[in-house]
Amino acid sequence: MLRKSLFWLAIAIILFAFTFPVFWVYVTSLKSPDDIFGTGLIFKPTLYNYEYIINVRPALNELLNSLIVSIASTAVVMAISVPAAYSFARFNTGNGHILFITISTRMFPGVVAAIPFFIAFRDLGLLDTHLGLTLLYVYFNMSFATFLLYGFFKEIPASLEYAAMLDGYSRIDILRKIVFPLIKPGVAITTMFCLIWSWNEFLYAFLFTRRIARTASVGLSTFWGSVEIQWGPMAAFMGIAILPTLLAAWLMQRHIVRGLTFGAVKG
Amino acid sequence: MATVTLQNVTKRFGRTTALNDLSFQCEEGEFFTLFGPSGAGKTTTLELIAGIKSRYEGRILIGDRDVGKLPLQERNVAMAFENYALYPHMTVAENIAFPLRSPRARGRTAAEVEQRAREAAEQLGIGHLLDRNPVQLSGGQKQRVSLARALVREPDVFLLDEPIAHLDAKLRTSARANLKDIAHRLGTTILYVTHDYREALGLSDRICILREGSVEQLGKPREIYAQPASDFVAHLIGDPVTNLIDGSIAEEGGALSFHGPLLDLPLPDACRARLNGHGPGGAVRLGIRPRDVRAHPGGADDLPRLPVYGVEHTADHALIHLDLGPTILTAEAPFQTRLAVGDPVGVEFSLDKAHFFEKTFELSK
Repeated sequence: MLRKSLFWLAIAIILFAFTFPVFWVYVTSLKSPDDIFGTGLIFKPTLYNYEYIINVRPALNELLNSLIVSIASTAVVMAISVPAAYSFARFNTGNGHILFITISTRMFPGVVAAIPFFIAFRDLGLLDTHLGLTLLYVYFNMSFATFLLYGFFKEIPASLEYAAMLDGYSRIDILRKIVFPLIKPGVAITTMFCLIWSWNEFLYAFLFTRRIARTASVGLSTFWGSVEIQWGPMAAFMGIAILPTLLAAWLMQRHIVRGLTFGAVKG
Repeated sequence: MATVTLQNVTKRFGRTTALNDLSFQCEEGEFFTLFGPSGAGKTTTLELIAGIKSRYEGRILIGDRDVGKLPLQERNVAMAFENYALYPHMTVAENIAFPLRSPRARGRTAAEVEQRAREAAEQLGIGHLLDRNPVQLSGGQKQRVSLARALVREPDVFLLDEPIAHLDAKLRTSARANLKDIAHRLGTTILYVTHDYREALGLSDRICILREGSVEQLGKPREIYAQPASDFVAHLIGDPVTNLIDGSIAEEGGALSFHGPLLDLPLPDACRARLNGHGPGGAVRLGIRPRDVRAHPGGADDLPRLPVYGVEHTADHALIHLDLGPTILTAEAPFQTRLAVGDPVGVEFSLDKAHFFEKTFELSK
């Protein structure tokens, strides 16, 4: 009995820790400036903050930038990483050296690369452009995505492909009928991680964009001024900015569970 | 149906030689077993025939086609893999029908394909599992599905890579009987790989024993059991393991005798024919099965005596392990035999069943 109540207590604490910030964001976004600093729990909901980020200090452009950069970089990453990971996993391309080099780009803190990238991007005219930020995100996500997918491809026994070849199928057919159906959960998870990472990324977006390509994560920080913090509009903007990630998590839930238990697929 | 011929096949992986000048021919409709310890090159041989591995020296023929240049899809062989290799995202029915739906197997309507897959499943007693997914199957069922998938089309040759090695012992016995029955009904050439001598002896028309990538002995199961070509074969076939005793032969006044550690055995005349060219004076390795060695507790006066090293009771008799200095000698005794470690025991050899070999590997206790 005690054991059970301790278990539920732990669950409750964890649940609170994870959901309270989300709850706080949405509640704050519906409060008027007076209510935000008030002590009462009861308040009159208002859409004032949402109007503010539509009309007074528009946030739509920053959200769009985040969307463009996230989707573009993820698409490029997947187009490169899926075949690369398959090649590493199945044919041991480069005897592990190329795979190692790919992963090694994540072995130093990201900020180390910032200055050389900055200088190169300045000379190339890529600062504050969608293309520039997309390229940066491709660079960072590709190693991670390739490594993750490599693991998923490794889980598919080579004998499955040989069995299909002996059954009379060509390599293309095998990719279509055996490999792709089995790798789908892995691809879904990797795509989601890339999307979320690019959507959340702050440091590089902050350093490499100013006005035109500024993303939502950087935009959010502008509410934190030297004089005051605009809690209300910031919460409203935040509420919108976290929606895509919540949605992605919800949509891919099924795949995540399958993906994390991927080993069970093995014959 | 076709023959499978290997001519002087050598396969290297880097510096290690997996197959060394391997030649054999498997006849049409034969159940041919490749048998040997792990690392002997059994699976490599199958994979070369299937085309999964390539780049070798020598020739491999299926029927009279040299398959060296043919891709896997063109070889018309069916293979059952050690890990079953079932497609996890397809049902049992889809798995079995998969070879029939390949671009190479055109000319069947969808209904015919389904019918054929069902027949193959019925044949193996898995007709009731057709709608299941592979994850929902037990090991024995998976093994049958993988066999059904191999059986569903009519290949020139079946390659079975330890298909029942991962089943538990009881299931393996019935799977063995099952496999024999299927092989008999199919009448197709089957190349079978195993490291279990029971499967090899029980199923095969002929057995090819591999050792480090070459043929150690090739023959019918009875021949191999009765006349092992080397100490290696004798050691490999049979459980409990054949006793091997290093020693020498002497001749005195026309009577032969064997001298080993702690043992001096007069050899009956019947042994002369079995000496295999080993004469007096030379080193020899004597091989004798535990069933041809009897332990007499207490011992008789004229028998050599050895101390007990350990006693093991099997279902119907006792195995007495005796200390023979550098090695152990295993003897059979009636089940009720009570012995303690160290007890002296009289040992009686049926030396007319003994084999005499060249020593080709080191023994250990």
